[in-house]
This record gives sequence, structure tokens and C-alpha cells, in this order.
Amino acid sequence: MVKKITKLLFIFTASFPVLFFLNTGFSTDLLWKTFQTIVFSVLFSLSLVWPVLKKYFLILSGLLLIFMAVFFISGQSGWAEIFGSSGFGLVLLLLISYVPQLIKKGYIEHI
Amino acid sequence: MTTRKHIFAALVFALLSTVLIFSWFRYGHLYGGGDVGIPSYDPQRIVEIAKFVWWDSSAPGALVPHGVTSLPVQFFQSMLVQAGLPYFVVQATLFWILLFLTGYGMFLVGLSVFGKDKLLLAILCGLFYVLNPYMMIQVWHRFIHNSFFLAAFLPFFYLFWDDWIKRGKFISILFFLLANIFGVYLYGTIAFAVTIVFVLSFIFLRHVFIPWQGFKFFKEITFRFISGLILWFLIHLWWILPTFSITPALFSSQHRTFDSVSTLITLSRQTGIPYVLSGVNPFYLFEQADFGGIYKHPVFLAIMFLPLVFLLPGFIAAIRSKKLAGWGILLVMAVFLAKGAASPFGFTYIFALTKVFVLGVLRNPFEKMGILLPFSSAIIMTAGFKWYLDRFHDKQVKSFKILLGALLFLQLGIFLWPLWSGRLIGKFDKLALVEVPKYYREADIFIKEQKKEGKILHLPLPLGESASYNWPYALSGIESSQLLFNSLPSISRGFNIDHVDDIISAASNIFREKVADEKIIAILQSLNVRFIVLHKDIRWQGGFLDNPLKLEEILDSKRFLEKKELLGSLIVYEMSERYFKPRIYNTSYVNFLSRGERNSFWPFLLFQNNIDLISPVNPADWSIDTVQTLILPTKSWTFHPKDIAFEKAILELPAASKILPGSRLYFLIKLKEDIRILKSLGMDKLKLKLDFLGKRLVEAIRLKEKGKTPEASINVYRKLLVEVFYTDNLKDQLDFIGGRGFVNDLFAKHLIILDTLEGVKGVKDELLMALRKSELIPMYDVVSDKNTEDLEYTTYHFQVPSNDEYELLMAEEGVRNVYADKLEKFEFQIDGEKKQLRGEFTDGFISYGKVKLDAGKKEFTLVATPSANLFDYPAESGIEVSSSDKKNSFFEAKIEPLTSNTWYTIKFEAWIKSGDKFRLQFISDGNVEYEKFFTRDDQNGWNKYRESILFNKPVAADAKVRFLVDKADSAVIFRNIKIERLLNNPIFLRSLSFPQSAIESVPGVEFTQYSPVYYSGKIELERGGFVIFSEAFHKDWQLKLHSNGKTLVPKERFLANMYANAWFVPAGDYTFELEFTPQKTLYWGMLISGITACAVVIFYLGKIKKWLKK
Repeated sequence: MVKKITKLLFIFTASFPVLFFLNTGFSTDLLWKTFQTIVFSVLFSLSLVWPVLKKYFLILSGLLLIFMAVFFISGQSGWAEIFGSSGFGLVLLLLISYVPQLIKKGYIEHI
Repeated sequence: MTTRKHIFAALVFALLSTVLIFSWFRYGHLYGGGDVGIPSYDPQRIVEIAKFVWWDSSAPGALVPHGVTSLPVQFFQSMLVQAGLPYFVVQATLFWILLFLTGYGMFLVGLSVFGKDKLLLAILCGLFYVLNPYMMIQVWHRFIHNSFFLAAFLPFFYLFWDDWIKRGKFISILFFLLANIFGVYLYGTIAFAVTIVFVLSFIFLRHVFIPWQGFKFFKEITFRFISGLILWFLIHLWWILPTFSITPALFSSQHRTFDSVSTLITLSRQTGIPYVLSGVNPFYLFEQADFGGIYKHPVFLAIMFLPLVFLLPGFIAAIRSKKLAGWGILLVMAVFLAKGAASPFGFTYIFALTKVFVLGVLRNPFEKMGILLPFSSAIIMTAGFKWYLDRFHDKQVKSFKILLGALLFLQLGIFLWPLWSGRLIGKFDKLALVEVPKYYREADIFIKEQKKEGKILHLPLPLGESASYNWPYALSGIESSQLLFNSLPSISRGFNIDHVDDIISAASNIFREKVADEKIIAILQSLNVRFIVLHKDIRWQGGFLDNPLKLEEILDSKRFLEKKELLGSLIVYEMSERYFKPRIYNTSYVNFLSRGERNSFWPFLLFQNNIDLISPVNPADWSIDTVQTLILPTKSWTFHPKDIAFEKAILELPAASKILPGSRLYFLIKLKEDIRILKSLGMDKLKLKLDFLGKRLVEAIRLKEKGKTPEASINVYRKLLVEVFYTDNLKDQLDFIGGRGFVNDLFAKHLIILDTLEGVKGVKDELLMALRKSELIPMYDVVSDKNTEDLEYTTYHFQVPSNDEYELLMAEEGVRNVYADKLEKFEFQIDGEKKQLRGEFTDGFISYGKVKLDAGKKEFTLVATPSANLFDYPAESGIEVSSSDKKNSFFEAKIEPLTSNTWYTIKFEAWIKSGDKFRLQFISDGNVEYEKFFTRDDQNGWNKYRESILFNKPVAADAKVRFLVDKADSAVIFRNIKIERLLNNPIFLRSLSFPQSAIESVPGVEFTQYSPVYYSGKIELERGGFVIFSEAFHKDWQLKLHSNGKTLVPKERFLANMYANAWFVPAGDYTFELEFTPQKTLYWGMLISGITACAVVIFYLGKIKKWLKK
């Protein structure tokens, strides 16, 4: 367990600056983007350390996209943007975490 | 799959295309306007124009190298026209074919993905690709023809390339190349080449890595990829070669990296994930509401997200399937690329654009890469549809089928109602239908029948690229006279190229009552104008075009013009033969003109008949006799010296932190600042540096207050100063960081602070030097007896070619009556020395006599003198304006004289007696150009106000200032109203002392034009002189002179009449060739592409022969 937590912390420490740069260019002007980056880094690290969680994160990303639609229809386009971009960002990161499987098998056997 | 099933699918898409096309074209008119004009109007004419990289039909000439990509499609359309089809049927036929290819191509992709027995799924795939919001809005509604071709040919490219990479079948690459030849028009938008290369590379990488099949396979398909890409490149070389051999310079000047990033960031606000996932461009759908307000209704918003019902399960199904995993990845990449800088990970795009200049072509990613959205989602949605079918196959089949059908009906039918109902192109309530009135053709035929050389000047002449007409089905978009008139080249619009727009601006503005005929003639001659066509059917209102009725009065009164024909709303005038100047002529009678940064008033310098203005591209090389030397200011700017209090300066600069230099923790402050600079981009970086400069000074003051030496801060200040002024070139970035006024105010504060710091000798001088070198402040301090706080100054810099006496002249003499002494006495400061000069009105200018000047940079500074009060009313008398609760009330003051690019200052006192506000408006030709609200502050009674307004409309009949009190039972009294015009008339220098050995030119040029890019003829010159070619200047126009078996190519280039080409030719008899050399690159490219095509076909035939032998 300690090994896994160490791995988790290591991946988080390594991925956060990269994702923060790609997401905001190190700008902290928009707080939600900073928070979003933290969420991305945490979930990405978790999905690499405990691959079993990927499935739930994928469901979460689907839910976020559905929330996006709901909020957009109800006129909350700002929230729709936050949910939509978070959902899509998560899909993107999960897809990256599946790359080894994609290269090996050509598809994702176990989600 | 049987042929019958293929035929069935083809019939489905043929039927779909037929229904749509009948719906769109049931009105019996062409579609046109916007960015594309009328590309289906007279395709034969377009073929004639587009086969050359230089378009002389868009006079005075334009470089359009990638226009050649339209040749195949225009040739096809011209065949249809020759077969007797009307233009709108030709357009309908083209659109039908493209729609059919779009759907059928995707059907074939569907078959290759889902299996040859899955007919219905493949058809659904095609339907999803044709019928979706992206296709409706971004392709057909946006009406960029290159996008139509991209959408239609992308599936074929995919199909053939995928097969080539996968199987290596030669027939596949052959078909791929063939599809590229037919679809070449898509590359008319160069960014689409990036889209295509991305797709080709994606297919390759997918086969390499998903899954990895070992090095042998990798080597095999890498060879196919590289060889295929080389063939693709070679087959397109015929348009790539001319485009890329000429265009990069055009790109760099027109689209700077900073502009690209700004555009990307602005457009990315419209490409958030909710919009990209739905394939919707909110600008057209919601902001402009081109299809009406109904799309804002929650029901329609809900339908907008219906694709997610298929996309989400489809995506999961896709990534879990070996066949479809690549499509899932492509969809995610498509969303990522199309959203641009929008969240998430939007900075990736910004970073890439700032680092790779070429990526600037993708600054509108939703438009350029967005086609990948419907392309990939068509497969994923079909996969989603299949997922539902598989899951619910046996259960409640009927209700499930009804539900699926209803979803598809809402998504493909209801949501896309403009597509089905033919309310698609243009606005739903005002379609972009075009019917060119018959009198245009009649006017063109009339001009053609005259059989005369020259150009047609169309009036009123727009300075931009667009125009709108009052026809029943009017063209509104890019000005298209070059297509409507094929008799002679048309001067009909601006080009967004400085030196060409100068002459267009001159031709647009010269038809004024006060302009002398000889000036008008000189400009018409320099433009090679033979006919003038007055368009009384143009929409001229708005202040940027002249009223055609007024123009008609002026044109009718001109002795050098003959009113030839009245055809509908067009009037054709012809220039008298004796005033007409051919396109190529010789002259030895020229004025040297040293060009300046402001050339918009230059036509007023052309006041002598038959004297051309010649500017050397490199003025240092000038050694030719001229009649006059005219020197325009290389730089001029207005500034307001400010006397700022030290305390205020300190307060307005960024505050220093508590940790000051010398502290052990100060390195943290520096680290934080360095990180901020490191992560900032472009102008933000420069702005930060300016902030840190101020911060260093405040730190220096704080150190001084604590009794410490400020040296540490000042040393950093010094280094940063050098970086800002000399490395980052502050002077070239003024417009992006707040303007000249902002920068001057900022450094005025620095200077005040530097004055108070002891022991920092030299820093102030360094700052002053940097400001002077950057032309932010005058080289010489302003010497004034008056209170400078209220005055503004204008400084002019001239580059004087030699020690001599120069006459100092001022333009816009018409305003002199509103100035003290009618500007007959005026004080100039020349290189720091004050001189009172007497002005005389001469030749339309005010001449201030001769001044002796040494060669080199010279500085003239003068007070931007306020005029007398333009508002004629007793100053002390108050004017009370009272409004009722139902009606506004106002009074107006007329502005006279009214000149363009002029500052007007409005000073007044006002007392808001009741109510809480009033408005000040600047109105020109009935349009409010400027408006400001003034509200009551805490103090009652009289308050003083001052507003400065820059009036820069090129054409305006009148202007007035309106003091308006809104309806609310308000009452405001105004008094001491002063409206002043600030004097910033252009000034220039003239010298008559150069040797005047020039004589009246004897015409010595005979020529024949063989094409827009090739002329030849004879030149006979008794003495050396200039050969002037009245086409827009381009460095690649080459003059070759042949005499006695020798060929001479004059290397030195000159700009004639501020926009055209000129060469100096020694005395002698020559035959000559004048050629636009980049056209050769097209021919070379065609040769290589042709050889490639032949080689591929021969190779393939060889293979067939081998196979037959076997």
C-alpha cells in the first residue's frame, strides 16, 4: 500500500506541473481551471496506480458530459463549459492511460 | 455486397441530394456574397483569370497564387455554361455532385469499417455525415467553397489512403491521387492541406501503433507512407510551387504570430466543449441568429445535445473494438483540435502557435480542423446506433424502433430545418440569392465594343474588399466587378496592401468639388483609367462611400470625361483620348518622392500634369536628375508634455513589495517575477517588463527613504531598459500595449522619479536617449514660452537627402480661415531652433518659404494649435435643454471645417439642474460616431468638461456635436462651449534645386499584352528615362531589354506614383519583355505534376501487363 501511495504521489507531482501548464499556462487567473487541473492530476494518478478505477472515471466523465447538456439547456452556459471541459479532459487523460493497452491489443479489452 | 445494393445506396444519396438541391434552388437564382462573391457567375471568365498567379483583372493587379486550385472546378462549370445551362443550374449541379459525393463517400467508408454486408449501417453513416449541425452551419451556411470540397473528398481520401497503407495496393494510391486531382479546389484554403496531412499521418500512425505489429510491418508501411506522401506532394506541386514560392512573405506581413494568437483566443471563446461536441458554431446559430431565435428555445437546445445519446455508447463500443478503436481516438483528437484554445488544455494550442509560425494558418481551428468532427462522429454515432440495436434487438422491438426513429427525426430533420427548407445560405429570412441585373452585361458589352486599352474605374470606390448593391437579389460581400466586367480590368476595391490601398484611397477621394482637374487627371492617368463606371445602385450610405448622385454631378462637369452611355443604374464615362495614358510608357520628367509613413494625402502632391512621382526602393542609390524633390515625413506623432507631481507618479507606478533589494529574501521576489515573465507570451511579456521597470524605481525610492543606496535597483532598471527598448523593440509594439500616449505618460513618471534620485547619474540620460531613438519624444526639447500643460505638439521627422534649401509646405490649406492669422504666420521648431515663418497660399498648399537643411534626419515640431471656436454662440449665454418624461431634448453645433484624421476638442461647462445625466454625441451624416454619458457628481452647480474626439471617416458630408438630455424630466444648462480643431495638417518639404535638365517626354514605348503576366514591345529613348508600368508594384515583375543581340535586365527597382513599377532605362532602341516571373513556377510545377501522374499510370499499366502475362 505504501508503495502504491508513494507511486501515486510521484505521478501526481510529475503530472501536475505538466497538466497545469497545458491547461492554463501556469496562470491562476481562473480559479476553476486551477481546481480542474488538480482534479485531473489526482484522477490521472489514481487511474494509473489503481487501473480498476478507470471504469468509474469513465462513467464519471460521461455523467459530466450529461450535466453539461443539462446545464446548457437550462441557460447555465458557464457551468456547462466547466462540466463539459472537465468531462472531455477526463476522457482524454483516460485514453492516455489506456495507450499501452491500445498499442498491445489494438483496442481496450478491459475498461 | 452485390452491385444492386451499391446502386440502392447510390440512389438513396442521389435522392437526398436531389431533394436538398430542389429545395435550395427552387427560387431560380444563384447564391453568392460573403467571402466568396459569385464563383458560379461566368466560370469561363474565372478560368481566364485564375490560370495566372497575377490577376490583372483586379486592377491595379493582385497576387493570387493559390487561385489556380479553382481551375478544374471552374473548367467543369464553364463546360456546363457552354452547354447552355443558366448559371444557377450550373451552381445547383455542382452542389448536387458535392452533396452526393459527401454522402456516398462516407457510405463507402462505413462499408469498409462495419463490413460489406452492413448496408443500412453504412447508409446511416453517410446520412450522419451529410446531415449534422456542422455541415449545415460551418460548411453550407458559411459558404466557403473550399469547405464543400473538403467535406466531399475527405471520405475518398480516407478510403484510398487507408487501403494503400494497409494493403499497399497500387490501385489505391492511384485512386487517392485521382481524388486529389478532382478535389484540388479544397486546397484553395491552404490550412486544409494541414487538415489532410493530419488525417494521412493519423491513418499511418494508427496502423503502426494500434496495435504494434513488429518492425517488419513498421518498415513496410513507413515506406508506403513516405512514398505516398511524396506522390501526393508531387501531384500537387503545380499549385504548391507558385503558392509557397511567393506567399510566405505575404503571410508574414499579413498575419503576425501575435495576431494569430489573438484571433485564436477570441475565436476559442466560441468553441467550448458544449459547442464542439454538438458541432455548432454559436456565432451564427445564437449570436447572429441566422436561422432565427428558435434555436435558443430549450427544446432546440435539447435536440442539439441528442447526438450524445449515440456518441457516448458509440465511443465506448468503438474503443473496445479492434476495428473501431482508431475512430474513437480520432473523435477525441478532432474535438481537441477543433476547440482550439478553449478548455481543457487550451494553452497547448496557444503555446504551439507562438512557437511554430506556420501553425498560424490554424488560428480558426473550428473552421479549419472542424470537419474531422462530423467525419469521425458519423462512424461513432453509427457504432452507438448499432450498440442500441444489438442490446435491444429482441426486446420491445417496435417501441424501441419508434424511439430510435423519433430521435433520428428530431436530430436529422427538425434541428436541421433550414437545410431541408432551403433557408440555409444567407439568413433564414433574407437568403443570399443573387441576380445580376442585365444592364451589367450590357455595360460590359458596350465597353468591349469600344476596343480600347486601359482600365475601368468603378465609382463609388470602396476602400475595403466588400460592397453591397440595391438589386432585387443583391450581392453583398466581396466586390465582384472583375467578374461582371470582362472587357477590361476593374479598379473596384481595396486590397489590404498598403501601397495599393494608397492609390485606391486617392482614386476614391479625388472626386470632390475643390479638387483641381489636373490632380484628378494625374491620378486617373497613373492608374491607366480609360472608362469610369458610376454605380448608382450601390449601397453608399454609412460614411465610407460617396453619394453616387453627387459623383454624377461632378463627373458630368469634367471636361476630360465624356458621358458615353446610360445603362440601367450604370453610367459609363470615357476619358478623352488626349488625357489617356497607356499601361506602359516612358518618361524622363519625374519628381523624386521620398515616401513617408502617412501617404494618404499624397494625391495632393500630384499637382503637375505629366510628371510622375518616382521613389527608389533604396533611396540611398538615388542619382538621377529630377524636376523636384518631395520629402514626406518618415514619422510624425502628436504628444502632450505632462508635468506630473512626484507623489502622483509614485502612486501610479506598481507598488514595491516590503522585501527590498539587499534583503536575503529578495531573490524570491526576483524568482517570482522571472517565472511570470517566463510563462507570459507576446505582448503580455512586454507589459510585465514595463511594470517591473516602474517597480524598480519605486524600490529605489523606498531604499532612499530608508537611507540606503538605490544602486542595486537602478542597475536592474538599466538592464531591463535596454531589453525593453532595444531587444523587444518597444517602438514597434506601441499599438499592442496601450498606444503612444500610454507609453509617454508612463515614462514621464519615470523621468520625474529619476530626477529625485541622487547617485544614479546617466540613467535619466539613457532613458531619454532610448525614448528619442524610439521616436517617442522629440530629439530636441520643446522650447515654449507658453504654459505647455494645455498644449499638444506634433513632431515630424524628415530624412533629407542632401544639404540644400527646401521649401516647407503644409497641406489642407482649406482650414486656414479658422486659425489665428490664417496660418500666415506660424512658429516651427526646426532641430530645436524656433523659427517664425510666413506662409503664402500657393498651388493648394501653404508655403512657409525656404529653409536651409543639412543632409540627414531633421526634426520639425509645431504646436497642434487649437482653432478658433467653431461654435458660433455668445460664450457666457447659457443654453438650457429640458426634456419631458416622454421626449428627449437636445441642441446641436455644426462642425465646419470637417477634415478626416483630425482631432476635435469640445470644452464646455454644464449644470445638471434636474435629472442625473446628459449625453454628448458626435454625429456624422446622421450616424452617431461617438457618445459619452456625463452623470451628476456630488457637487451641484457648474462643472467643466473636456472631450477630445478623433474623426477619421474618409468621406462625410457633415458632422455635428449634439448635447442631449434624455427623457426623464431633466434640465441641463450648458455654457462656454468651445469646439476646436487641432492643427495636425500634413507638412512636407520640396526642393527645386536639383538639376532641371529634364525635358518633356517623347512617347517611345509600343507594346502588346499577351497575358496578364507577359508583355513585349519596343522602347526607343533618345535619352535615359523611366519606363513606368501601371500595375501594382511587385519585386518579381522583370523587365528584359534586348538590343544588338545583348540582353539587359535593369536590377534597380523604383516605385512609380506610389504604387506602380518603374525601371530606369538608358538611352537606346530596344525590344523588351516584361514578365511576372513566378508564373514560371506554375508551369514547372505543372510539368513535374504531369510527369508524376504519367509515371504512376505507366507503372500501374506495367503491373497490369505483368498480371495479364501471368
